[in-house]
Amino acid sequence: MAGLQSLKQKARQLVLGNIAPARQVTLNQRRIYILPGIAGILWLLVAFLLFLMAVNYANSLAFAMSFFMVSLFMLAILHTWRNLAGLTIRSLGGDPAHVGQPVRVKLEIDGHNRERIAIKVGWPDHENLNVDTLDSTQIDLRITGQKRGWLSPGLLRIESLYPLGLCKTWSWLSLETGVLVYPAIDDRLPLPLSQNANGTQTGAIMLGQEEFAGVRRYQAGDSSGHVDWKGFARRHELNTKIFDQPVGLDCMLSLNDTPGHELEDKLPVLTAWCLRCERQKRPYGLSLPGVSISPGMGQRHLSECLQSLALFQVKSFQVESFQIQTDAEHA
Amino acid sequence: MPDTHQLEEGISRTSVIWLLVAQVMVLLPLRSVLPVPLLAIALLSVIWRLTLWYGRSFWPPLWLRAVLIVMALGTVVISFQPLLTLESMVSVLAVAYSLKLLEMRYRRDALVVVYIGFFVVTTSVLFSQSLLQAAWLVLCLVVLIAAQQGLYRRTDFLPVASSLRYGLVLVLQAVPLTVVLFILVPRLDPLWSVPQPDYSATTGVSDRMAPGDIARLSQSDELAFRAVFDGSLPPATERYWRMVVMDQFDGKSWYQSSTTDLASKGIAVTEWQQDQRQPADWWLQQPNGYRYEILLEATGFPWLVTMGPAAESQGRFLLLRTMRLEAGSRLYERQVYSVSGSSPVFTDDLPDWLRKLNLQLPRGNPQARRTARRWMLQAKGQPEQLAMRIMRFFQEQGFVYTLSPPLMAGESIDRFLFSEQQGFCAHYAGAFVFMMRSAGVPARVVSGYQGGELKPEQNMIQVRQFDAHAWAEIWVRGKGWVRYDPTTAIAPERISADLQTALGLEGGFLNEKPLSLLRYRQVPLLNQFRLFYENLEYRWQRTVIDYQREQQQALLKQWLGADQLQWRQTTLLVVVVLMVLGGSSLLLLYRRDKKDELSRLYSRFLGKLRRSGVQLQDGEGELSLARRIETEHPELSDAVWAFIREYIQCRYASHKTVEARQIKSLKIRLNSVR
Repeated sequence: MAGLQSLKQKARQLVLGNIAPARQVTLNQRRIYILPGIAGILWLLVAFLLFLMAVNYANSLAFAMSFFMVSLFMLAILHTWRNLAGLTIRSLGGDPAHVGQPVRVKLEIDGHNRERIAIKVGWPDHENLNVDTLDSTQIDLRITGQKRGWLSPGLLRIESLYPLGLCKTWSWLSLETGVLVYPAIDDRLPLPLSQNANGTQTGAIMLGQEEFAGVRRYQAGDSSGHVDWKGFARRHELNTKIFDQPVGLDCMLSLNDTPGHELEDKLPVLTAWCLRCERQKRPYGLSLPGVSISPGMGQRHLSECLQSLALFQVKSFQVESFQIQTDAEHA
Repeated sequence: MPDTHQLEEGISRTSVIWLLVAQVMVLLPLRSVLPVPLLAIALLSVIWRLTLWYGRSFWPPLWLRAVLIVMALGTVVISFQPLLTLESMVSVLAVAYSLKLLEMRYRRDALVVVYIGFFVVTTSVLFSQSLLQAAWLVLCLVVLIAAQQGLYRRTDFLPVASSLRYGLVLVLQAVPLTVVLFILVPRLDPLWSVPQPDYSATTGVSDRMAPGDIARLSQSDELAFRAVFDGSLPPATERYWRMVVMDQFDGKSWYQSSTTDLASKGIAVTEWQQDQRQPADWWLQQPNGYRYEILLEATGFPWLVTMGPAAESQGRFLLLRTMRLEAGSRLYERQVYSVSGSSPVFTDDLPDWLRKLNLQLPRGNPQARRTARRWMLQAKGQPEQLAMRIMRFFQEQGFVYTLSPPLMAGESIDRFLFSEQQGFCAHYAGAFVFMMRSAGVPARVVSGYQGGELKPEQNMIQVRQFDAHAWAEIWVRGKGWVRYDPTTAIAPERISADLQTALGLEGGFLNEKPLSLLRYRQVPLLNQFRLFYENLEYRWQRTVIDYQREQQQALLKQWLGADQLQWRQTTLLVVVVLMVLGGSSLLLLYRRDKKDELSRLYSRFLGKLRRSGVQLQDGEGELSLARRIETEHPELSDAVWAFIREYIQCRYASHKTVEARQIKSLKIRLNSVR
């Protein structure tokens, strides 16, 4: 099944050519396809039956009716096509999320002052929305990122059957989402402790120095080991125990500390560690081949680390322009 | 507003209402065609769907739908004999259309409903193609299209006015192409024979006349035919439109001899009917000066109407010895035919078999027979004297002309003549012929129409069913068949004016049609409206409905010349269709964006500056450009500032859309920049 999908995707690429993805695409004649659907073929069949009736009864009004249906069919082609023609789709990005978590991609659809009705927008196999617009309209499309890096769910499909459903018009767009997908969170492993400068402390001592500071509402990504299970049994609230970490114990996270062989297994672990350090208010830095982020804390620091993890060794295009974009958003 | 609704294949509640309205509208013209139980089932379906809509009901289970289908089919089988008629097929279609409502859950079903709707609404034009029906058809189309487009709209949002407008706009946009196809697509001859509409329920002159039959026609204001004259119009007393000639009487009703009956009596078919190829030599002909075209509405019978006796066959029709025309088959469509009038001149006496045929009488009515023979003796054997005597009898005895005479059973002629003494034209004509025959004068009853409404602006006489009339013809040696209308003796206004006048206060005219405009001919405004509408209807029928193969050929020959007509027709069709399609796509798709217009003007402005040696620098806005020009090229400054100020005003200052007026003034400013 997956093979078939990728084959389809490849065929589309072949037909459409390798269009470089862009943040904004305006549909012109060359991008819009139109074909009569089953409803349209049935419509012509009804018109033909009426024609036969008109011939056999030599009935002028029946002739007129049959010709009217044919005319309307031709008109429907124009109207349906017009529904998409000149439409502009703009990606407004969206908040980053981890692999496996739903992402909302904000799209702006600009009809340029022409009424557009019932336009179906969406990536195949993901959420599709039905939009009416005159000027510009914003929609959120929910997608679950399957791979870290810039979210690219393939070609965006825009289609419309309006007004009469006789023809289906559609277009495939190569649209940059501008949404970053962080690696998944693998929170099964404790923080590495050998990163301290003197290197003498052990895990046990480290754990002992954690001081219980209270509880807060459970968040996705929290370690199951820190969940307040007793409290959950009593109050049915899922909370996470928070431990204060003594300041000054910087944690330098590196690929070398993670177990496993595959990069894609290691990155989720690092991601989880970053999140845990941030949660535990322990300064952390990141060291990857070619990337080095000095220890720090805070939302911006976390974003920077997660972005580095997301984009680490990802073949990508125009990454820099996105970085500017996302930085600007965070600022 | 972002739409958070998932695209679903269901039907919105508003769409359901649209479909129900469309359904009721589509079925309305068929109410007289469908048997009453089917109408009930259709109504039930609509009501059930409505209760579903209100959430007060459940989807009918399969068994219930099956029961309804069986009931509907049973009704069809019982109601229609023979089974395979146009009416029965339309009924099945209409009931399927109704019952489909009860399983209409998804858009797919709704689409089927709409498509059947398109089909059903077209079947209703097989029964009537009047202007009113056509207008209703257009209205149905608008609603059907509005319903169909509603299926594809966002499901929770379907405004009535905009949907209707959209339907109307689509219909109007489709009109040009429809007209082109209507005129140019070659008309074919019928491919196979189809069951024709049943005309038995419609009123019209029949070939069998019981005394009350014609009185029944006086209740109908339906159009019978129109006669458009080329040249002079006949005077009122000449407007006897002959249709059927009844020479046989069975004691109750008069009827026509059929060719097969005569053939079985050993009479050659050519003695009775002849066509163009073997012109009749039964009589001599002389032209009577009237040339006219008849537009006869479909009757379901083969006979045709002519003014006065037909002396020769016209066009493709048969001439019958009774001096009337007949088509080879029953007429299910309107007929248009020209008659160049000629009257027969009789030199020979009747052949014996024909004389015998026109003297046939059944037993009975002794008093009428005796009286006729007595008067014949008094008239010294002169048929015309006898006829005058009978007419005088009607006049002197105070006979009453009425639409509602008492029932005269048994010896009907005797009872009419000597005891009841009131009746309608059929009574008088029948009694008159009976008495003439009793006295040995060959005579027959002729039925058709008398009079009609004059339409001077079209040189036309329009005849309706209530103009139906019956009169008599007798054979006078040396003169031939002579027309006598006994009604003139009792109600001369019937002939000189019309039925309504003749009936006077006694009334009965169009009693069953209180809303018929024809009842109110005395009200000037209503009458004017009626005349206007009839005129419109006439033009509609002549231009659109009568546009068939022959008319198409004639028109195209006139336009394109006769040689290679088919090839030229095809070329013209393709070219015009492409032109209309191209035109509408340009109209639909080409839309000047006012903002784009501004950008175009600005780039033209920059082009002009470039030619004057000013280059736009990186990141230079409109204002900084103008300031730089002020210092570098002072001679351009004024015009540039004028343009830039207005441009900025259009581009950035106004939130509203840019108007054409602003673009125009901006262009003037641009032109002043050198």
